[in-house]
Amino acid sequence: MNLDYIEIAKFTGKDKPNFHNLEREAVYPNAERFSFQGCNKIEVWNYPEINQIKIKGSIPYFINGHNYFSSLNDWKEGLDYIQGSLGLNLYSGWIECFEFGTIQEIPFPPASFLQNHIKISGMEAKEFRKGNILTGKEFLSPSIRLKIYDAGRNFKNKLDKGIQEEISRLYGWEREKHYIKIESHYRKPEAHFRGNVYLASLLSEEFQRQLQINLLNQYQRIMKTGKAIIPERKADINAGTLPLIILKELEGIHNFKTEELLKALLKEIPEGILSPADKKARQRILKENLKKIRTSGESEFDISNLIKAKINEAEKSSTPFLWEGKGEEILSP
Amino acid sequence: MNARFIENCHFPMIFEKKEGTKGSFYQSGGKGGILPKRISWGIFAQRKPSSQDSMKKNEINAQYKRTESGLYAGLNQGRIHSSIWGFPAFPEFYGYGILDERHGIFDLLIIYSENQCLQSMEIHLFKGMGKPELLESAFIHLRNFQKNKKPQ
Repeated sequence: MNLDYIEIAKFTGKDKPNFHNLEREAVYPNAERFSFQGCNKIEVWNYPEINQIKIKGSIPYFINGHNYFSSLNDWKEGLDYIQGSLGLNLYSGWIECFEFGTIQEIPFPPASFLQNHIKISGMEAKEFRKGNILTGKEFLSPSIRLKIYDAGRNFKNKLDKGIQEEISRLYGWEREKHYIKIESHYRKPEAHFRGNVYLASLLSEEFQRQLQINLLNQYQRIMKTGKAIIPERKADINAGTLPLIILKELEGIHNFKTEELLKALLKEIPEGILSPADKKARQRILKENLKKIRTSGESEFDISNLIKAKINEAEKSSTPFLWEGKGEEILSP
Repeated sequence: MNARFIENCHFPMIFEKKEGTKGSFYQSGGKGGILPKRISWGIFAQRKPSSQDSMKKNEINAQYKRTESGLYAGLNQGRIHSSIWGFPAFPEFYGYGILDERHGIFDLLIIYSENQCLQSMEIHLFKGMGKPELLESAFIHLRNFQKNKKPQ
């Protein structure tokens, strides 16, 4: 679980940042855009009129060339390099937006996983497709955007072979397995956390723990299908049960009862078309078919337990927010 | 620090001595548009009796021509200077210098030569890595770089 994309803003005041190590890419009426060339680019925007600079980009991509995993040490190295080159203390800068997420191996194809994650109440849902294949979904609210997408596909298509080999050597990534990325994009951290978030506090252990729990809670808020248990006997899966399975799946999400909807529909059909005896016969068949469908309390596509295990693992594995060598806090004020 | 990151900060250049000169080296290969095409190699200034000065191995001085462009052309009216110091942990390298602390830039120069810089030298520039905590990573990277280069 780690931070990824980030936008850091900093008032320079009377300090003059040093842009010599940066490449100037564009000049706008009130801003200049520079970039740092690490493994991937990091943008630095200078607003001379308001004495402000902004750093935008993914530190893991900048320092490692991938975002499969990045430790706080990687963050420290990347930020120290940037702030050393700029001649500014970035740890006192405030965060304009950031992403926090995790990559999780899943036992089913990503498209099925995504298809069974439907919506979050009160949030707009969007789908991303490449051709006919569902590759990602996002759930939007004014202050947060929860993204779930096929991470394995990204690694195969975006990363060069050397980096693919590195992540499989270091972190056990396997090309054939399925991986999903679950990521919270905090669009307005100051609104979400009720106050400005500074870089030093964002990297603190307490804050990271809060982000991990938030990620789990947000994931659990996603309404999932996949609760219906497919009948084991072939005879129990006829053409009539299949649409009923889908209806049963959607019950929880759209708040309706399949039995009541079907009853109401039969009632509406005029007696000239279906006599009361016909209606009773159809109702009996529907009841028989509904009996064949059972639902479990939890979706088979719910990976909350895997995320919880990851949080516990992160908690147990040493003290990631202490400077390992010296055992002292790395984030000096 | 990640090897790939260091690789992206690394710019190798080759300089060869002009025949008949005392310490005038001209760029003959590697990445162009960074240092001036001609550099002066040698300590020509008076040395102070300080212990720091006695540890200095050499100096690089250069100036961009009016028509020349380069990474440091905008600094100090196009004049560059760096003292070269030894790094005993990596004896295969002649030494290192930093360009240019006076302007808040910490670009590391590592000098490698198979002839004690008498005829030619390789200058390896590492952007932003001229800090004490990053020196060793740069030297380790360069040691591996030289090892991998040799069979070619």
